[in-house]
Amino acid sequence: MSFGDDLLHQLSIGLVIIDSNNTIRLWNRWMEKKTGFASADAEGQQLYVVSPRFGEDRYRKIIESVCVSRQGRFLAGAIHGALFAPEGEVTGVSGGRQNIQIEVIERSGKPMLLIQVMDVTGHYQKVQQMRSFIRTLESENDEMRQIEQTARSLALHDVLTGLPNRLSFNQHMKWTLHNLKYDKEIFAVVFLDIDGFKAVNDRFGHATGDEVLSETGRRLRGAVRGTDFVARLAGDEFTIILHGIKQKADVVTVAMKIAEQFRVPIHVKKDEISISCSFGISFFPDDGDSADVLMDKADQALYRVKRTGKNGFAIFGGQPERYML
Amino acid sequence: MLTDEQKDILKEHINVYIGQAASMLSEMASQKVLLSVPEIDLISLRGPEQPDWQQKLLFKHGHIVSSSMKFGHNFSGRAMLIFPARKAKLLVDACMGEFTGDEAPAAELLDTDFDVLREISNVILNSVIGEFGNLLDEKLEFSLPDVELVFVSEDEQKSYLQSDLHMLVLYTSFMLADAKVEGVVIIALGVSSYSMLIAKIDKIIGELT
Repeated sequence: MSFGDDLLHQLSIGLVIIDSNNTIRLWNRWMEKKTGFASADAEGQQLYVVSPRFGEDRYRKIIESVCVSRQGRFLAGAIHGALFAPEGEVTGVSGGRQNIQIEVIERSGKPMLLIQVMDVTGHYQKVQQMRSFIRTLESENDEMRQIEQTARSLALHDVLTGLPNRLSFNQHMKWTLHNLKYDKEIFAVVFLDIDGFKAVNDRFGHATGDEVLSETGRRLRGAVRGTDFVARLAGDEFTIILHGIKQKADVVTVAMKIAEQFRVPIHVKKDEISISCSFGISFFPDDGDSADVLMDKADQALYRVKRTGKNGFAIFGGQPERYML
Repeated sequence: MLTDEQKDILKEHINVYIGQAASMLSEMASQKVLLSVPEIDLISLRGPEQPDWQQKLLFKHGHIVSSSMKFGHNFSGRAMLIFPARKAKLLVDACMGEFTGDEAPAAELLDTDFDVLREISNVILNSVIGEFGNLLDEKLEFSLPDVELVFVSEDEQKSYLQSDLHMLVLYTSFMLADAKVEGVVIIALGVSSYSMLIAKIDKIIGELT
């Protein structure tokens, strides 16, 4: 064996040379090791006999096209699998991956095809594992995000009415104050509770009481604009932040609309429950510039309504306004 | 730089071969892939119209996948196929039978994806360069393409390829099941190769008229 031939057999890639009749002329040692075909058995055979996949129409065409155009062709193992079946396999499509390069060479003035075979099975598997690992991470990440979102939503919402809860209200107030202090805009804080709610619970039971609270939440939400903020603080206490008030007098219209919501009784199963509510209103920035002060002033106004007969509303600093059901 | 007539002649020749590449890609992707070259431009980087082509944007800045190969003898140069990386991933997924129609970040291109892109580029560039060989009746030898992921900034985008004199730019368009992937084939030519090409096209026009 010449030095050159010896070198071909020492290479760590597969080398196959076929002539213009598709007869194998060279089958190096790497190919022997990987396919189990001894060079003595492979050489002299038709390529598709040793590697049946080259008998498939598409690969026949590729070989033909390289011969005719004399343009090299690269075949990615990721797409084609293993064209030379690894030892013990028949088709070479069960997981083996080979990158293949086919080029025209001249030997003694005759064109031949040089086929270089690189085994990328291990590498491909690693990449697939990495890919599946990335997918798992992504899906776990999505799940975590979902859980976090649910947890955040639960932490900030009242389970019974679905409205924002006290924590959410406090955060919203903080955010509103931070953003509005510089804009000199007016907003109103409404502190509302249902008149005689304890009697509703005592007479109709807590399940009905819960339904009344849910319906109250729905009606309050329906009475204000989408940009306003309605929250349930606790028990039968609700708060509303009315944003973008141009003048204080406008709030009276909204207050009347809120009161209107309770004109129609609430129906729970067969019971018809008439309720009324009282609420106090304070304004930023006239009545205070902190959440605590604004809430306290609205509460003071509410207290004044409660003390003077309930079923009405009052603006902090003013006389309680009455509305009739 | 090319007259409409010259462009038409070139486009017609190239589209025949690109059609063959499309059928090979369809086979690889197991779905119909339509491939066309809707526009061709010949750009001289030192010509007076330089600012014009720069504005036209060969490719957007950002991550691109660039495959390139040299070809030669008498007619010689470098051929390149360039895709935005996110779009390249669509083609790879299609060929791997994992086509979802979703674009993916460049970082998600893995080693085996580059093998697939190498084959795609090989098929397309072979068709285009092969066509030049036929057109000029020249035997063109060329290597297999090298594929790389490159990040091109806005400034770099303008200076990309500036060392060459002439560039033949083929805007390619791949239509997959639900996605359109656009790329450019750039053939950078030296002066003599450029003259050879123009002379041949003019000769064809002369024979037609």
